Amino acid sequence: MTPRRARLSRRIFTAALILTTVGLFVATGMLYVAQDRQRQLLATSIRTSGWVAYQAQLEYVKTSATLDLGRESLPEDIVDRLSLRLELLYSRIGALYGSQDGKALPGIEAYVGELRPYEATISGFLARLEQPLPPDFAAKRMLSSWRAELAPLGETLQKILERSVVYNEAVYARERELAGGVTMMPLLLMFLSGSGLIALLRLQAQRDRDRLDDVLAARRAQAVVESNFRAAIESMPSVIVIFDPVVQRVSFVNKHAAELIDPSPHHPAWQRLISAALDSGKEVPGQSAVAVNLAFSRPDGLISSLRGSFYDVTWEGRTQRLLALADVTKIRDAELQVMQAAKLATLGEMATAIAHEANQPLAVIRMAVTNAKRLYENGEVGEALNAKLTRISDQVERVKRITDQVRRYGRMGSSIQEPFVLKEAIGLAISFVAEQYRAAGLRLDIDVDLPLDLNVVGEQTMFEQVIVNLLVNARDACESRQSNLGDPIVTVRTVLEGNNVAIQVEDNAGGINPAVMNRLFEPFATTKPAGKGTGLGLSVSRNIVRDMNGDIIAQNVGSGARFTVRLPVAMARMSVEEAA
Amino acid sequence: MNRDRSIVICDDELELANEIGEFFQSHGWRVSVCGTAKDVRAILSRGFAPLCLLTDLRLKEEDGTELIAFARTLPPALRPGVCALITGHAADPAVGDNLGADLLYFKPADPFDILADLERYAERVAAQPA
Repeated sequence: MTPRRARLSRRIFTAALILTTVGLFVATGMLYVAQDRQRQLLATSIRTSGWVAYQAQLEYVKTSATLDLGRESLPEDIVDRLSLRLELLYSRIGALYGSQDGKALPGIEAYVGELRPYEATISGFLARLEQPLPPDFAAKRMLSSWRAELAPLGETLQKILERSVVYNEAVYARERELAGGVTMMPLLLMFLSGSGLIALLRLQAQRDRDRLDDVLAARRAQAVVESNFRAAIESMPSVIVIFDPVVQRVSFVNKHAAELIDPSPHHPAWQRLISAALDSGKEVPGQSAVAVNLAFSRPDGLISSLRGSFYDVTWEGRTQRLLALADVTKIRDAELQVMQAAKLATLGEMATAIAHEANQPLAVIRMAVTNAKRLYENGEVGEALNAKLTRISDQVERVKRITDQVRRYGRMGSSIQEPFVLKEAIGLAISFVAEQYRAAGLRLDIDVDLPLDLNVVGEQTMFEQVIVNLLVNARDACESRQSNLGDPIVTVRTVLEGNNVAIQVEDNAGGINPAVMNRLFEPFATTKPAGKGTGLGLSVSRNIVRDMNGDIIAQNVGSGARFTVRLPVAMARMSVEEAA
Repeated sequence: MNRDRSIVICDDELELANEIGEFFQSHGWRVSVCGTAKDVRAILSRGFAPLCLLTDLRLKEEDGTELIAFARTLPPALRPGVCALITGHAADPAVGDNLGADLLYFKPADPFDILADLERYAERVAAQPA
């Protein structure tokens, strides 16, 4: 049954119930009134019947008195008077059991047998009176005998009257008892209870209506909140996606998200984004949000760098997850530019060292070429000349390695995160600064005992730049250190810690000033003299390491500073496309 | 005479030292090639006074200038006639005074320039009355 039909039938049922109740109530009232009226009628009948008995008795007394008068003095109009009386008596007796009122007399049925003969008697008397009366004495005797004949009637009537009076007394007493509102009590109580019931129902209805109003108000408020929330996230200059965490189905995307992928939440790329975000999610200690950092290849082929967080929200009545991402592609690009500037600055500082490194093989080549030319001119074109040419070739290879290194180092980084062999990357970074260290007379201890299949995920040249930065910083620190600290030593060490690998760069140059320690990784916080360093190296390094889902910390240990880069080990080779 | 066109060459890059040695040898010079300053000190201490000492500026254990300074402390009879430095560094400080050497070359220097300079010096020495 549909809710609409259910509501309708419930309404009909309620109306029927109300109608039935009202009907029953009215019927009860009417019944009571009818019964009361009947009872009153009965009481009236009883009272009237008493009157009938009284009138009969009175008429008997009057008749007796008339008979007595006739018996004594026999007035002239005795016949008329007696006829009147006897006729009245006759009718009164008949009324006792023949009339409606008379029938109400208590036990009247028992007297019918006694009364009926008197009717005949009285009829006989009346018939006699039609004829002329006998002479005086005889008339008086006749009347006297009638008087005697009617005497038992008087007794009977007296009995009936007495009985009627007793009964009436009882009825009166009962009526008196019931009178004075007592009669009205049940009706009143009925009305009171009915009114109470109605009031109760009305209260109940009011309470339900209030509750319904509350619910409706709350629902309206919730709708307003949700609509405001929707407007707020719609207008946010961030990518916002709301999805069901169980089935990973997207239920809302805001304008910026639509621009990133597609306005339709059913586009398959959303699944890719959510999976990539979930994979890169990292719990932030002390916060409910989960930090996300990923490079996402968009359906239009561009790659966006996205940073943000997951949050739990109530959306459309159930708990869902909100993924808020900032498109930091431009920031990333700017960071890459800064990184590039930092790299070029380092490269500039290292130019003399690189030139020296290149001049060595060039010097060998020049000498070897001169000697080879002589051999050729002298006709010594055998093994000796070949050896010279091989040497020249080897030295050219050596120069190439140097220029390769410079080219590699000077290359612009990208935002593609891929697994790479950590040991190789550390080796390349070290080889880049090795000559500087040699030239500066710094000892560089290397303790990098890592398996060759140990990968980390990131952009390799960026990571190398982090290590180069740390080694250049260590070199600068050693060069400006006080000489009483012994021979300067810089150590590069790797430590495996479960699923993480820590790369430590440590020097013995006196450590970092505690005043700078807290803002060491902030942009433009440099301890180097003006003109040296960009002040961005550590800030950019931290961003690179964070992009690799790692962290970088600095601490003072022993007689120097130690920088630790901690990275998660990538167990399996996995390209960014698979990850995304 | 020992001093007649003799040269001690020192460079920790032995391939370079050998090539220079070979070049001078082919031009009639007596050549001693060393990879370390220690070896040069040993040769000089043995009483061999070469006409020329040609050393790299940055050696593994000792600076070329220190080696030249040591050579200059030797008695005149044992002292090399001319001390030359060769360096690959692009911007070494205080180039003006040749870092205490008689001659200063930058890698990759033309071997014929070095030879010409040293031949000129040898002729000047030969022209001097004994």
